Amino acid sequence: MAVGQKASGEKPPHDERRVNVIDTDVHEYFKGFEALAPYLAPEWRRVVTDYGFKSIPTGFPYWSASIRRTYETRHEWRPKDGGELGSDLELMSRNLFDGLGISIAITNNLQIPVSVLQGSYELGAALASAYNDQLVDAWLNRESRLMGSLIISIDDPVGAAREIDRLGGHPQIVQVALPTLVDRQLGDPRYRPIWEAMVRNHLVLGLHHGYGTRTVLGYPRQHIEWKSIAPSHGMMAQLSSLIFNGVFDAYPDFKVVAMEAGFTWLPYFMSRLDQQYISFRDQVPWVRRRPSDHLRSGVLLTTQPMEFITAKQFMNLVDDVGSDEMIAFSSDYPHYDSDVVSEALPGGVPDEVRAKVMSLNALGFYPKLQQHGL
Amino acid sequence: MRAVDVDGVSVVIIRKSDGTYRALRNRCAHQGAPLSDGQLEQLIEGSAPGQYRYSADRQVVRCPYHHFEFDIDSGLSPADSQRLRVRSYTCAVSDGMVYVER
Repeated sequence: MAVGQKASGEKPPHDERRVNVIDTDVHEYFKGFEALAPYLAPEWRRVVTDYGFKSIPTGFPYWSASIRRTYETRHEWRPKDGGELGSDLELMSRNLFDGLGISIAITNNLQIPVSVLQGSYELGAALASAYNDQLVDAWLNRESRLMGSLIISIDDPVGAAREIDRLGGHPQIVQVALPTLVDRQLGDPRYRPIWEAMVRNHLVLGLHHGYGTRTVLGYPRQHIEWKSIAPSHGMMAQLSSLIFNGVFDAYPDFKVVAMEAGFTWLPYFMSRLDQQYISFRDQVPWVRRRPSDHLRSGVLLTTQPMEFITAKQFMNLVDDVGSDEMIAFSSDYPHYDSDVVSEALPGGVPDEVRAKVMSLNALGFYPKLQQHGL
Repeated sequence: MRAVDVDGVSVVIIRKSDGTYRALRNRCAHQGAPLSDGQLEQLIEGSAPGQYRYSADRQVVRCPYHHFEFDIDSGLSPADSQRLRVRSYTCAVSDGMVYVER
C-alpha cells in the first residue's frame, strides 16, 4: 500500500484523526404527548388521547422563561413545519454534526420529568417507558451519532431498575436522566436498586435542572434569581446527598454528569465538603474516601453556560480542583443560550486541556461511549 | 435593522425611533452573533421591584443568542458599560443614502 493509503475499515493513525467534539448536553423534543401515544398501552394511552394529559405540571411561574415569540434567532435551527426547536431529527443532525462540527451528541429530554410528579407514580412510569421506546425508535435507531438517556420514575425504584434492564443494553443508551429534584434526596438508600441497575448496564446518571427545581426560597420573585442559582444549588445538594449517603462508596462505578449547573463553584464545594468530612467523618463512617476524591473520580460537569472567564482563571480552577478531567463540553442545543463550539472555552487554554474538555473527558467518563470506535 | 458590508466589516444600520440612523459593528461582544438578527427595542427602565417602563428616547439592540443589550447610540451594554460594548460608527444621511464613517 502506498504511504497515505488506508485499507478500508482501518482507523487512521492518531494524528490524522479528526479532532472529536462530544456534546454532553443536547435536548431532543418529541412533538407533544400525542407522539408518545403509539408507545403507550391502551389503558394508559387514553390518559393522553381521551383525557388530554399533555405536560408534566411543575408549578413553574415565570413568563420570561419561554422563548420570546418574536425572536429572530438561529434560523438554521428552525424546523420547516414550524415545530419546536429540536423536534426534527434530520435538522438536528445537520445543525450539530455538520453545522457545529460535533462528532457525538448525548441527548436528554426535558419534556417528561416524571419524577417530579406528585400523586400516582405509575402514570410517570408508563409515560417514561413510552418515551424510552419512542427515543429508541424515532431518534437513536435513525441516527448513529446520537446517544440517549433513559427516563425513569424514581418513586418505584424496583420498577425503574426493570426499565433500565429492559433498554439499558441498547448501544446508544449511555445514561439515565433525572431532573435535579428538590422533593427527593437521591442519597436515600431506597433508590439503590436504580443505581445498581445503572451500573450493571454501564450507564451514568445525568442530572439536569428542570422547571421543578426550586431554590431554598421556593420559586424566587424574579426568574433571573431562579436561573442564577437554582441549577447549581440543586446540583450541589444532590451531589452532597449522594456523597454523604455513601452511594459512591457502595458502587465504585457509579458516576454522575452534572449538566448545565455550572462548574466554577466546584472549588468551594470540594473544600467545604472535605472540611466537614475531616471533622465529622464519624457521622458518616460509610463514606470511605474524601468527598473531593469521589467528586474527582465520579462526577463530570458540563461547560454550558460558561460565565466570562479568562484562560488563566480557567486553569487556576483546574489547579484548584486538582483535575483537568472533570469538565466536558456541552452546547445545550437547541436552547437560546447555547454556547457555540468555538467560543466554548477561553482562548489560551493549552491544547491538551482543550482536547480533554472537547472530547476526551467525556469519552473516558461514559462507559458506553467507548464502544463507538472514536 | 439591516446588515451591510463596509470594507469587509459587517455593520448593522439601525433606524432610530426619531428617524435618524445609527450604525454598530454587527458582531456581539460575547460570542460574535449577528446583532442584525436581534431585536431593536426601547430600553426598559424601572426604579422599584415589579415596575417596568419603556424609555422614551433610548433604544437598544438585543443580541439573538444570549439576550445581551447594546445602546444604539453608544454601543455600550446597560448592564456592564465597563466591559461590554460594540463599536459604534458615525452615520450621516445624504441624497437618500446612509453613509458610515469607519
